[in-house]
Amino acid sequence: MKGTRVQAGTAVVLLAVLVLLAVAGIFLRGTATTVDVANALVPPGPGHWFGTDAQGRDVFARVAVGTSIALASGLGAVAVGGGLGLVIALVCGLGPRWLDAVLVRLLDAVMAFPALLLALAVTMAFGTGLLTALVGVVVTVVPVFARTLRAEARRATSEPFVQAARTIGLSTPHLAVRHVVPYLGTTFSVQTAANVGNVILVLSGLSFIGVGAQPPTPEWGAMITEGLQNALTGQWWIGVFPGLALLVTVVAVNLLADSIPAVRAARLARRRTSRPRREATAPAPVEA
Amino acid sequence: MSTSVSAPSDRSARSDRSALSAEGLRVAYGDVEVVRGVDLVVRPGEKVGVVGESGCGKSTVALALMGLLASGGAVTGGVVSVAGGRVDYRDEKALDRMRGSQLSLVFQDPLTSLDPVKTIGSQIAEALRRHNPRMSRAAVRARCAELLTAVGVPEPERRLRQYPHEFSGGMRQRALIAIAVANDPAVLIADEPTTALDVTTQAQVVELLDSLVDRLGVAVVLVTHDIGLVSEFCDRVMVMYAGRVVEEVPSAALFDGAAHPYTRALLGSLPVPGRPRSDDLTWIPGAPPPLAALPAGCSFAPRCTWAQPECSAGQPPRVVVPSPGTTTGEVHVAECRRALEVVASSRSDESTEGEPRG
Amino acid sequence: MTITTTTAGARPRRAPALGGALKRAATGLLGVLMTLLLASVVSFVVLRAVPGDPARLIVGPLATPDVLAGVRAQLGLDDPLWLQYLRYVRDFATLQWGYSYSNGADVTAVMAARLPATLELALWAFLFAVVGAVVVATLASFRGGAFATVAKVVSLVGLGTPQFWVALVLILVLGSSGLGVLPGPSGRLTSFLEPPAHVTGLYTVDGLLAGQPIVFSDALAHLALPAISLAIIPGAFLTRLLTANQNDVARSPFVTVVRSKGVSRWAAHRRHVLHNALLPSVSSAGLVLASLITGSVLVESVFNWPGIGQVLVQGIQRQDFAVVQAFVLLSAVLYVAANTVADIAVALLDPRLRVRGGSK
Repeated sequence: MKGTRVQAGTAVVLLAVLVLLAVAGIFLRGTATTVDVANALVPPGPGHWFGTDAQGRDVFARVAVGTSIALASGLGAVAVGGGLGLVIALVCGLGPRWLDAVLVRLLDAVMAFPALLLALAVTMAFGTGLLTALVGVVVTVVPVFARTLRAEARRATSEPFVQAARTIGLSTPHLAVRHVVPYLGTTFSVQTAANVGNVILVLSGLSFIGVGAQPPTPEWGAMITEGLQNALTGQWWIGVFPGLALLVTVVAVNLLADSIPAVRAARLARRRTSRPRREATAPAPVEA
Repeated sequence: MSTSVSAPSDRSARSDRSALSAEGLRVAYGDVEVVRGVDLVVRPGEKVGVVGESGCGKSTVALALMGLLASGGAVTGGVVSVAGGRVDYRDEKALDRMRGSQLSLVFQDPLTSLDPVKTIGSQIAEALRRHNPRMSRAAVRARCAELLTAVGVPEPERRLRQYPHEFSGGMRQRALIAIAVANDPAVLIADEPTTALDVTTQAQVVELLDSLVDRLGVAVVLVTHDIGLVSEFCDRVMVMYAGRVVEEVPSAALFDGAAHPYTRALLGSLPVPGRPRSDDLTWIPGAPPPLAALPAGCSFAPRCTWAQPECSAGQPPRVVVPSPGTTTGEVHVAECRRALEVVASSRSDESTEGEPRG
Repeated sequence: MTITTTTAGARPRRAPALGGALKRAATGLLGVLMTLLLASVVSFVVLRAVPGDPARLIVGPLATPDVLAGVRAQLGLDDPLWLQYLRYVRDFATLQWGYSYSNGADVTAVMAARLPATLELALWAFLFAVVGAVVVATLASFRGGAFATVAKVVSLVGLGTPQFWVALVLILVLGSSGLGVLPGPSGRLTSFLEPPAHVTGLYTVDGLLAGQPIVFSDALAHLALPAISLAIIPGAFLTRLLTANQNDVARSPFVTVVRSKGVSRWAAHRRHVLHNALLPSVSSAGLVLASLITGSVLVESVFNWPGIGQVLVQGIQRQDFAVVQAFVLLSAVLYVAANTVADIAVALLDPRLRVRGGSK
């Protein structure tokens, strides 16, 4: 239990630092794209904490802007994909059985594609760029949410409170919004935490192979591609720092996602153990 | 293993030839002491019962004797001897040599006590090979079949090749008993061996244990919450409450001469054939105290209908109870300051209920 | 990279009757076929119907309408969509994956030529991942304590690692521009060495078969860094899965029974806990394969490794839809196939699921 608290604490601290970096990135947008050939390939030092790249752009500023891009696009893609997944889950859970069967098959078929490749195919179909890459990633997130939330929605429909709501004649959409959606809240938040890390990884992977954000954009994956060439001639900092930021971000999110179930279980356990103790000290009932 | 005999005490005369003896056994999980000084002596071929409600420490005693406490648990005091040799619970190698050859275990739930992906034969053979590394394959196979036959499993050759899921609950418990007696141990510890079985199978398993005692001369420690089973099967009964043995009584004297209010309460909750149906079963109010926060004095006092103010003041004395039904050499001890009054009341009015709180 | 960190699937149920097993196998097969069919529809819609006119992509923006119409007719693009779809499925199934939009090369031939390099990389990565995961997970579960904590943290970090970046860091630290212990991004062999006689196409295997230890060790040295980069994510995933499984199994009563026979803790762990923990993990083979496929796409180009992942990345840069189409649908087919094989393997390996003919 102590380990879980340390883990959750680490995740929160790391995420706080990343959010600060992302906020700094909003103000550093200008610096991040300012070309200064005279100061190209400067190693990390007091002037440029993370050095400068081949065009003299400040790597720290670019990493900071990259943080705001990654956090915003990661959360955005999961929110949109999760929302769509929720809608599909509700249709599956509350709609007719045949529709549920068809949709589940379709979701399984979409999930048969490795996430990066499916996102890549969708991105290519609509033309490369950060925005189309986001569409591609959303497509991979939808079935993950739809599948898990659907199971929960099905369970919800057999709960007494939903059946009671049905007997008093609530319409199906009303039922879905007022009673089933709140029931799915926990699962939704757990899934969100579990998927943000992957989404950020896939997005940077797309940019790395050239279908996501395009070069002048300070996106981490694109920056690593740019840094590859310089790395072999000794300018390691151009590719290493964005990757480090990417790693820390994904690990922080995963740490948080990983500690949610344990923290929840510990909280439940605490609630449960407090009860029998009270019973034990209660006065014994007198025999008849 | 050293051969030193345990420290002299009032029972040293018997522990000389005991199959298993424990004196002042203490077990703790972290800071919580769950077994608080238990004495237990088992003579060769003897059947001793350990009874109590769940959480009283009886299963912990079984696992502690085997040296198989779950992580976090440790033997913190006491002297244990098996077949005359003192057991050192820090010497894992010596413990491994002892387990299965001198002291073995039959576990609670036969459904989860066998490895689901290994054949019954290989699981019996593992016990044999561990202690007889030079035994030939053919000899191991023959002995496995012989063991299955001995525990009443028909068609042993075919059964040895089967997996646990192909065995019924009763058959699995028989296979587990075969594993336990594979190396002719001195003592078999059976921890709730019948709890997970249906009533008919329970009777068969108890009968099997009984016959093994007769045929092999193995001593049995039967750990159970079922005081009725213990009274039928065992020679002697140890009643545990909150980590201590509160009464040690020969089975013959159990029903008429139980001297501890807790034992009386356990007996009162037992349906007895022939007793009028109007005579309702009694129950024990409350639940056992949490071991982390035991009440001062007698731990049973808060639930006891016989309790007096002084019961909560200090540790209750060990009272030797003279029982007419016992043979010489058998001890009847109860850890209760009113033990003799309790016995007297039961003999006078033949009731199994305690006197009302007054 | 679709790997999420939930632990082993549901415990296998009791073995059903023979008829039930056949019926289950039949419905299972039907489900697999349905999934594949729908996957081909998804791939057709995304890569063939949406991107617009493949003929335009092939002939380029400057071609005359006549040329364009000729190519359209040649590709059957004037036929109704359902006919095009059927042709698409037929061509995929008969390994006619079309011609590169950019240079006219036969996609099937290019893939076939590049497959051994990727296969060799993936096999070694798989080996590293499985061996590493089994060793680390077993020690973590057996010893617990600080080692288990470190293993947990390391596997959590590993799961979040961008492979292409790890590839870069490994080259910088161990490769030619760092400590120089291992070769940098220079393909499969040092340039002055001839590839060994072609038997399997895997240089390490062929090198041994041809009795050329130098080729073997050189091929292995070139493999090491890309294979490690590729192994990190599946390795971390398997470590977490196997540690959790072993911790679960170690709590089972049967382990106490094994100990009560006098078997040492280590022997009981190795023989009983590990065996029971490995069985359910076989069913995650599909996930591991998926991560190896995506990994090869991301890692091969960093190491200049001449595999199909590199073909894909080059195809993407040239907007070559024929290559991407074949690769993407192939990855889905392989994923489904791996899952099916894993299910069958579990059913054969787990006595509770094994079908017994004859005996009741």
